[in-house]
Amino acid sequence: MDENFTNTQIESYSLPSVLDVDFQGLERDYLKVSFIGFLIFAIILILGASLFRLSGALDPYSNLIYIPAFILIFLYLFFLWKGFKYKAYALRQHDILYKRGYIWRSQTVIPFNRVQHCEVDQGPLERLFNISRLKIFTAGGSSSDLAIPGLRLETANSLKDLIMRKIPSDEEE
Amino acid sequence: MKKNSHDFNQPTRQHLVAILMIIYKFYRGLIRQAFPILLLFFVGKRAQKSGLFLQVGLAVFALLGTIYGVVAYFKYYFYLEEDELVIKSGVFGKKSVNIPFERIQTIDFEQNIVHQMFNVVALKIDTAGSAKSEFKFDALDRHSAEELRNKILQKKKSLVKTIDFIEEETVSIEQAETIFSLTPLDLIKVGLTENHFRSFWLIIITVLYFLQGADDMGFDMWHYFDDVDNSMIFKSVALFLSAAIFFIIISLLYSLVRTILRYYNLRFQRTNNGFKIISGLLNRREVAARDTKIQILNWSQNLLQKFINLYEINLKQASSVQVKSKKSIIVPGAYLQQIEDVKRYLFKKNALDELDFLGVSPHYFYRKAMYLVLACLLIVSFLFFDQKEMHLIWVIPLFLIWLLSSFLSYKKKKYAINDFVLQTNGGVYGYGHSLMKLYKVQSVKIKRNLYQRRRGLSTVIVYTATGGLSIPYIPHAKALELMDYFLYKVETSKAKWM
Repeated sequence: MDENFTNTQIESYSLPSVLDVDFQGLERDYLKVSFIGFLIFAIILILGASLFRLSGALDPYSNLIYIPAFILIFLYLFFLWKGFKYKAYALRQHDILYKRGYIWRSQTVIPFNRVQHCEVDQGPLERLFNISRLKIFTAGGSSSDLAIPGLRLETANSLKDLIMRKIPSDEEE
Repeated sequence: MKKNSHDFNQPTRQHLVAILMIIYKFYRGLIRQAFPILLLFFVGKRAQKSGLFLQVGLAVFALLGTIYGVVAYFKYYFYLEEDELVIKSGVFGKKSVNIPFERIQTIDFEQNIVHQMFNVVALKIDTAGSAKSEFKFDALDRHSAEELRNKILQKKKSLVKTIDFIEEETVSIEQAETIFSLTPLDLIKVGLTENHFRSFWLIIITVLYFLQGADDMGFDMWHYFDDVDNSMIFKSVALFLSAAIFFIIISLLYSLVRTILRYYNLRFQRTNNGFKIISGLLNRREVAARDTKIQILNWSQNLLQKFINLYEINLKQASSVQVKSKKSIIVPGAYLQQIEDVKRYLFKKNALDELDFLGVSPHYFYRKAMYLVLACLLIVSFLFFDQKEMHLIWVIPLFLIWLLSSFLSYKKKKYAINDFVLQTNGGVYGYGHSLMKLYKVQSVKIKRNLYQRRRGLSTVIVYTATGGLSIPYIPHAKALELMDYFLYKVETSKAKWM
C-alpha cells in the first residue's frame, strides 16, 4: 500500500485529545422547535383519541388512558429538555465532533478526509425559527453518519462549505 | 454476437438467451405474487372442475409471458458513451439508465445452469449510488462480456487517473493463483459442521409457514396431527426422541445440500491486486474483491468446526449498500494456513507484530448477568402467580445456559492494537476474529450508559465502510486514548481506504 510510510513512535499522551475540546451548544430555538413539534403531534394524537372515545366505541373507564398518556408526554418533554444541554458539537482542524445523550451518552467523531458529502436540511417549523440541521455522510453507513440539529441556517451552511473545502485539501497533501 | 472485438459504442442487445431469463423472471414474479391462488387451483376442491379453465388460463399466461420476454428483449439495448454506460429498456414506457464509469465499483460474472449450457454469463454492475445501486445484464456471451468489462474498467481508469493519481490499477488480463480449493471431502466436512441450528429453525419455520398458509386457504392440515393422540406424542419419550432425531437428520441433510449447491468446486484465488472466489453447482458465482476495497478480514469457527480445526474466512468489502453477504467473499472450510496466506497478502510484513491482546472489564459480564437475573425473577414470579411452579424446572437450565453464554462471551472478548491494525476477538461457544487496518476507519464513537458511567467505563465503536467493530466496557480514559489514536491514524493517512 504505502511503501514509503514512516512510522515514528507517538506517545499516546502527546496526541491531541478529544478531552481538550470546547464544545459548542445548540441554538436555544432548537429546544423550542422540538417542544412545539412534539406538542403538535401529542395534541393531534389526544384529539384523535377523544373523538374516538366520543363516538362511544370505548367503555367509560377509558378516561384512565389519559393518565399514562400525559405521564409519557411529560417524560418525553423532560428528557428533551434534559438532553438538550448534552447536545453539542465541535470543530477541529481535521475532524468534527458531536456528542449527545442524557442517559445514554455518545460522542462521535468524523475525520474530514472520510466525509462523502454534506447536506443542510430545514423543516417548515424550523424555518419559522431560522434553524436547520447539518447532515454529514460517510461511507460507514447510517450508523456512523451524523446529523447536527439546531444550527442557524447561516452557521450550518458555512460549516458545510468549510467541510466541503476540507475534503479535497486533505487528500492532496 | 461477433467473435472479434465488438463495437460497444453502437447500441448492442444482449445474447438471445436473455429472452429465457426475462421470461423466467416474469413467471417467477407472477408465481410469487399469485402463489395462494395457484395453490387453490391445483390442490383445492375445485381443481377437478376447473380443469379446462386452468388449461386455457395457463396457455394464455404462457403466450403472454413469451411475448413479453421477446418484446422486452428487443426493446433492451445498451451502449457506451464518452464517460458512461447507457441502457435503454421498457416494454410499455421508455426507460433510460445512465451509469457514469467513475461510479462503477465492481463488475461480477454469474452463471446459472442455463448460462452454463449456452456458455453465456450474467453481468452484475455495482455502482456507488445511494438508491438502486445494482444493475444486471441477464445474458451476454462470455467473450463480449469480458471485453465489455475490460473496456469499462479501462475507461474508468483513464477517467479516474485525471482526477486522482493514487489509484494504481492494472486492468491487464488478470493472472490468478489458486490459494485454496475445496476437495469433495472438505466440502462434506463444511456441510456437516454448518450451523445446524439455523437449518433447524429454517425448516421448522418453513413447515409452520406452509401449514399456516394452507390453513388460511381453507385446507385443514392440522387434522393430520389431531389424529395422533396428544398423550401418545408427548408422553412417549421414544416418539419424542425419534422426532428429534428425525429433525436433526433433516437439518443435517439440508445443511449438506445447501453447502454442496453453494460451494461445489470452490476455488479461492489470488489475483494481481485482490482476491476472487468461484463456486456453486447449479449457479456458478464469481465474486472479486480488490485489496483496497477489503475493509475487514474476518475468520471464525463454531463449536463443531473447532473440533476439526476448520475456519470460515470472510473478506468484507466496502459497498454502497449496507453490509450484504453477497458483497463479501466467504471462504468456508479453510485451515489456519489459508488464513495466514490471506494475512500475508493483505498486510505488510511487520504489520501484525506486537499484537498484545487485552480483555474487557468483568462488568461486561456482570451487567448481562444482572439483566438475566431480573428476567428470571420476572418469569419465576409470573409462574408462581399462575400457579405453574412445575415449569420452574425449565427456567433453571435456561438460566444456567444464558449465564454460561454471557460469561463465555465476556471471556472471549479481546482486542489488540498496534501501529497498523486493530483486531477484535469474540464468540460465545465458537470463536470470531476481525482484523482491520487502522486507516480504514470512517468514524469513531464512544458510548456510555448509566451503568458504565458509574463505573468509569465506555464502549468504543469504530465504523468502516462495511460495518463496525466494537470494544465494549473498557476504562473511559483508555477509550478516549484509543479514540485519539484512531483519529490520529486516519487523519495522517494518505492511503486510499477504497
